[in-house]
Amino acid sequence: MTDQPTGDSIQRPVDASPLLSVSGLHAGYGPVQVLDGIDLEVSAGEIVVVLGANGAGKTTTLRALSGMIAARGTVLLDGDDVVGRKPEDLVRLGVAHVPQGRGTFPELTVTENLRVGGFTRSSEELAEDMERWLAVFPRLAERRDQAAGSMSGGEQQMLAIARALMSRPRLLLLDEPSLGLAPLVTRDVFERIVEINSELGTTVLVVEQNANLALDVASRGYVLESGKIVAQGSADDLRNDDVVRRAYLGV
Amino acid sequence: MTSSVAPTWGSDTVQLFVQRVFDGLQAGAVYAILALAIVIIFRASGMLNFAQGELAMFSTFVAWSFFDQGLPWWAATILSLVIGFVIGSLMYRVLIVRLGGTLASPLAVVMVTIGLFLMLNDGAGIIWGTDPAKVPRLFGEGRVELFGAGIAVQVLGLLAVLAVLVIAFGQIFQRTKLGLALRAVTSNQQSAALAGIKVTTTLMIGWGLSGAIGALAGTFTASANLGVDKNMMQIVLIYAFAAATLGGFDSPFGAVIGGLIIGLVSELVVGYVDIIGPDLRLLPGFVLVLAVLLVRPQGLFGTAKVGRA
Amino acid sequence: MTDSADVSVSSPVDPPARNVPWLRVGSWVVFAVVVVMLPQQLASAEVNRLSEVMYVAVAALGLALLTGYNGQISLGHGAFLGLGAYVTMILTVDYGTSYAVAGLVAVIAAFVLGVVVGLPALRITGIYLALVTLALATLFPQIAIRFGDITGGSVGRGLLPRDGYGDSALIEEIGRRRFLRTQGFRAPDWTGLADDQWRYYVFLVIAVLVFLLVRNLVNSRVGRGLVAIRDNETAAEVAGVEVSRYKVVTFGLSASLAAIGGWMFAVLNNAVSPTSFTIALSITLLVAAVLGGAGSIIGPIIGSLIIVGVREVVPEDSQRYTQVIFGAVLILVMIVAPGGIMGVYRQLKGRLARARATRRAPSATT
Repeated sequence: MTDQPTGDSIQRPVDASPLLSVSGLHAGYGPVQVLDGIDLEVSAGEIVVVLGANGAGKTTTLRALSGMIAARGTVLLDGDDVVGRKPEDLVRLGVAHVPQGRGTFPELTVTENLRVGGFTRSSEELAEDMERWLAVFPRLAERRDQAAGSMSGGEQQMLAIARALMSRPRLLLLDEPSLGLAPLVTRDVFERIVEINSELGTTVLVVEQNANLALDVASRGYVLESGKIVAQGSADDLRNDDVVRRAYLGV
Repeated sequence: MTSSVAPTWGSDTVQLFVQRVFDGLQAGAVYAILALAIVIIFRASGMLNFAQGELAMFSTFVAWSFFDQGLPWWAATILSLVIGFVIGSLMYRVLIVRLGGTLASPLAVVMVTIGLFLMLNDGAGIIWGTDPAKVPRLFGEGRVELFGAGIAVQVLGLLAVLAVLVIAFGQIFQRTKLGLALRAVTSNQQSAALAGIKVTTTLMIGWGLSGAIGALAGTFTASANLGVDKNMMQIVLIYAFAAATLGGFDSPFGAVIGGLIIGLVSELVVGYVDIIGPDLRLLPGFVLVLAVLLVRPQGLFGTAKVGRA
Repeated sequence: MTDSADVSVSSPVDPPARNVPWLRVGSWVVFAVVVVMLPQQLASAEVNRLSEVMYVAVAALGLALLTGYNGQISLGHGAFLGLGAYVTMILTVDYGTSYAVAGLVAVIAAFVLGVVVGLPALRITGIYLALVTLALATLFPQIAIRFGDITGGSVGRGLLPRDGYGDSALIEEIGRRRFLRTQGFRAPDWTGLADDQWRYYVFLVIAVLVFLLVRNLVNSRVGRGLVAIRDNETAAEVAGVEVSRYKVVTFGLSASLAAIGGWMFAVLNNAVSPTSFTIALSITLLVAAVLGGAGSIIGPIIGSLIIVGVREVVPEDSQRYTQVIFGAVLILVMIVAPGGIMGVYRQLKGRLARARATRRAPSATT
């Protein structure tokens, strides 16, 4: 793989049919359009990161993909055009979105949070997965009957991810998992993400401001600025790119 | 069975007191039921339904129509629950969703529910006219001797129904998938949608349940008055709001306790304090609510986020 | 945060007419002439109806100020109107005060009550304000009945002073002026007008003054502050608007306006009774404000015209349908056109202006 200063070329894995294929995505909030036609692809089993500063449109991207806001363009999930579908439908199609700020149900207990996550699953699957995720996240198991709102930021983040995984998604959308978390905790969270991706093969699309950590775990990445993709490439390429380094890696 | 603690001035006073207590509980139980309906909607969608009382009245009238045609009153009561459910859920689906669902401005929701209030109230007058619509007491006319006073079986039955209602609701909310969905939607609507819960449908069911409970308040009010009247729920609504405020708007338990307290306080103060005649019946309850609010803006059992501006 | 159903759609200021000022001025002149000439042409009953429109409009304006411009809810403005009416009746009939003084007292009393209601509402959620005002509206007739000695109980008060006050022998002793007052609001001889016409003109002057005052208020910096509070309280606070003070004073002010309407009610009807001031009145005022457009000055006038008009037009035996109609109107307006009639008018005007602009500069469109 040659070193290219600003990666225009997309390094594709050999099995090239992408799980998620987005082209010309426009989305926003009423009169304020945030995304100005973006293209991206995520292949099954990958971890892909979207970097960008505040206001670049990262959260809007995920919201558009999970159906939370109206969007124009093409979003192919395994070949099906799902643009404009409602969140409840997308969950059933295998997309799980962990929103910015965790989005846990503060008044519900850990177990209840997980039960909600598995709402679309049968009760056997629910029971199985509950046990599994409580085992993967022992801190959650310890607090299984505790109200989610009383847990620390890191624990809530784990809970939010576990909750999303309860729906057995094919594609996991993570919105700034590092936000508001101490570095060590963030590292822990990212390690889990890698675990889940390698053991379950869950495809992960994560948007982050914290480029260092994200580029460590991702295989590919995109850089979003003012609603447009301005750079893309393998994680290595991006890490070595001067522009990216100055803007996002603080070098 | 006379009270073992008989004051020296004779058991008549005690009898009057007990009678008043149960009168208060009877009124309070109806307030409690309607307050429960109000709180369910408030918890689920953050809105106040000003048409709650008229919805109850309308459902009761429809039930009465069937009763008038020969259906036994207990069956008509159950029918009223179904009708209340239907009207309540339709109200959400047809009106509130159009205003933007839970994003609707509170002002808009107030106006629309008041509009429905007007339509249901006059609508009832137009459909059923001004002739009296007589109904019997659900639990009959019998009396039971308690604490030295003859207490109507109707009142005891009503209190029993209230207890069953509270328990049933507790079970639904805590143990069923529907209850979980309702609590999730209340807690964090966005995340609930992201977990695959059909938010609009869930809220429709919530409003439907609220309508059904309200209908129960309607049938019992009609029972107490031995008749259905199109204006019968207006004052009950005010009391129910006061009860919900007292108990804390997001606490179903608080609504019930609040209703009973207000019923008791109103009855006892009006009975024993001469300045407050029956004209000012509303006043003791309001003063109580105001007093509690000054100290605890979220009501007796409400959570802090309800109280603050 | 954008409200999906905003009571007032656009800015409080109507865009000035640019192209044809004479048309605008001309139409106002014609309108003014018509309004002034009307009482001469119509029967007294009809003139009284127009006076009724005016008192409803003034009270509805108060509500529009509170709700449309400041975003607070009130279901109890009927009570403030009733307060104004009762104060006016009692002071003029029992104590012989002039109508002007009675009006002043009514305005102050309502302002105080409004502040009393509005103050605690600051600390608790806005939804409670709806409930408190609802309670006020419900309690008002009951309190009026309870203090029957002064208020006349369920019968109410008319031009007859109560026992011990305004004694008829005393009246003749004190003089004609006092005597006149117990005859109601009479046209002075020098005008040569009938009573209903005189009332109409007095109401007109008051209404115009009130509307001009409110319009100036709304277009001033204070008015912008009010709207800022309605749209986003936190942002307004940050921008330096003293939210609490504005909200409370606005509540008091809007209550005073309703009380002026109450004064007019008393002058018009020469009688007050509890059944005139039930929650139904509060709802009527709400419908008038919302239908016409609570976020505008003219809106309440239009709404009042329609409300009183509907009552006039609907035949006696179908009167009961009016409630259903009003209810349906409220629902439809909130769903379809939350800005009321004026809101729709402004939207159309805006679209027309945009269409004209694009026609003039076609190359500028994207």
